[in-house]
Amino acid sequence: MANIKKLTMQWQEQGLLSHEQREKIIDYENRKPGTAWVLYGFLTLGVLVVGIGIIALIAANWDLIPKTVKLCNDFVIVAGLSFYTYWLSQRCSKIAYESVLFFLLLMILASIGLITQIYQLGGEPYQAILMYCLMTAPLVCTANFSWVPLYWTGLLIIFGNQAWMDYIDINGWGSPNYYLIPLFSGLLICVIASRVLHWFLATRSLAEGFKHWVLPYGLIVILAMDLANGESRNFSHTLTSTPLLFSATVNLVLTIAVAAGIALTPLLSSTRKALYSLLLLIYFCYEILGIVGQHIPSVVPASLTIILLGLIALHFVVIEKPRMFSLLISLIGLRFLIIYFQVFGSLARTGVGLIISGLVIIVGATLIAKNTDRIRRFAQEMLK
Amino acid sequence: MTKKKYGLIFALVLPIIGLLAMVINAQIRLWTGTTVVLPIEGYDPRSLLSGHYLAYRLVNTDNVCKSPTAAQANDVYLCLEQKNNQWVATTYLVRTLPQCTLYIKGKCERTNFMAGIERYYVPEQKARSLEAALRQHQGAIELQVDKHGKATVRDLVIVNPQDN
Repeated sequence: MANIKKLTMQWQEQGLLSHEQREKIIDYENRKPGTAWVLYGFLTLGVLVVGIGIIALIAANWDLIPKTVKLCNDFVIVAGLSFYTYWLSQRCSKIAYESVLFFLLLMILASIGLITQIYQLGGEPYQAILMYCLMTAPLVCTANFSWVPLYWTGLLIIFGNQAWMDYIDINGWGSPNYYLIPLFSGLLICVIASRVLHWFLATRSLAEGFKHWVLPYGLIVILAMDLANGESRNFSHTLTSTPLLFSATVNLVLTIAVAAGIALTPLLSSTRKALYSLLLLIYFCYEILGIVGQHIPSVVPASLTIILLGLIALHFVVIEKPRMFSLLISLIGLRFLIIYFQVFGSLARTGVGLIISGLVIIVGATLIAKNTDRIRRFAQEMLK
Repeated sequence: MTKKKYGLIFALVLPIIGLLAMVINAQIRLWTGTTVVLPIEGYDPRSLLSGHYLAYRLVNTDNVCKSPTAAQANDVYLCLEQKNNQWVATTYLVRTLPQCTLYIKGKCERTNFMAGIERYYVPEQKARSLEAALRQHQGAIELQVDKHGKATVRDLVIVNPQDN
């Protein structure tokens, strides 16, 4: 309420509101039913404490509880939550539905853990998680907001990558650079999934989940490539095993699919098509370099990282997201700084070196802050 | 009822069916097959994802994964024979179904033969004493093995329990 009063006062001083309009707004806000935040806060605290108490009681006597009782109670809770979720879907409270849906998803995951523990089931964690993702995919499609699909797609990406890396590394002796194949392919799958799943109304929430992961996943891949190319490697195996060949083929097919998607999407302007095609090409070259390149000067992967980040920054110029553009420019600045320290490493440890390094950081950061808007406007003009 | 409601009911029921299928599958595996008890040796790592469990391996399987052929194979078969009323691991075959009475199917991960049975969840307060028993070679694992070589853990057996 204090915020509204302060804001309306500022608007009135700027001539945006008259005194009478301000009074009407404040009067309207005053008449709204208030929310008893303090009461809700204490009630929530009470419920949490009771819940923690119940969990502590169960945990302390866990071994004494028979397996059948554990299983039956678990199924009763899951079934009860499912029924409650359905009941909420018939009411209009989307936030309540979403919260209970998320809790139900966590409960299903906990149930898989319980069954695994009770029956001493073997296997890798990713097998259980991928089965969980399969079971709960239709449920995630019913989400109204993005945090449930974000959680589900995050699990699928992380453990899908792990499953693929395990498939490649059949006997545990594979070169760590081959793990880049699933990492690279995962980003392409996210991009394709975010487009294809968007075509169908039922899977749009999943599409949103994949779409939100594209940028963070892309930055992680660029970081992984940068780190991988910074290491000297000895190959113990060549690219001849079946899983590796299959994975490389899948990766190539995915790259072609994304390229075709860029070329055939009618809504993209020719400038954007050129931008995304160049991004994909450099991404693919970076991937080949990361997997099979040896004894590469560190300036090459560093340059490719900067070019990729620059192209992603241009994408944010095109879609008019200035904050994301600023973030990418800052990351480019950081990468330049790392190059500086790599080149002048030993000098930077001296007193003079530290002073120069500090000045570089200050000047660099100031230049970036002052010129971000100018760079963005220039890029916008260039991409018109 | 609208299509959307049917869809939601299907989405809510599917995980319950999935969980039930897991339980039924695990229970069927325990009811069928042959019960064998094999000696084990092991250690107790902690894993954030898998909870508190004992990790071990079957005794006398050191040579299984040492050959280059076995090291790259995804299907390694460990033969089991009954001697003096006890089951013992005798030979192993790679990529070929053996003719022995009973066998466990697994694979080689680096130099270890793994059949998906190398983990047993234990109560936290008993973990240290069980670990000590395993280190003194007092442990055995009771398995249910089906005719396709799939082994399921039934119980952990300690010959001289130290936690009483």
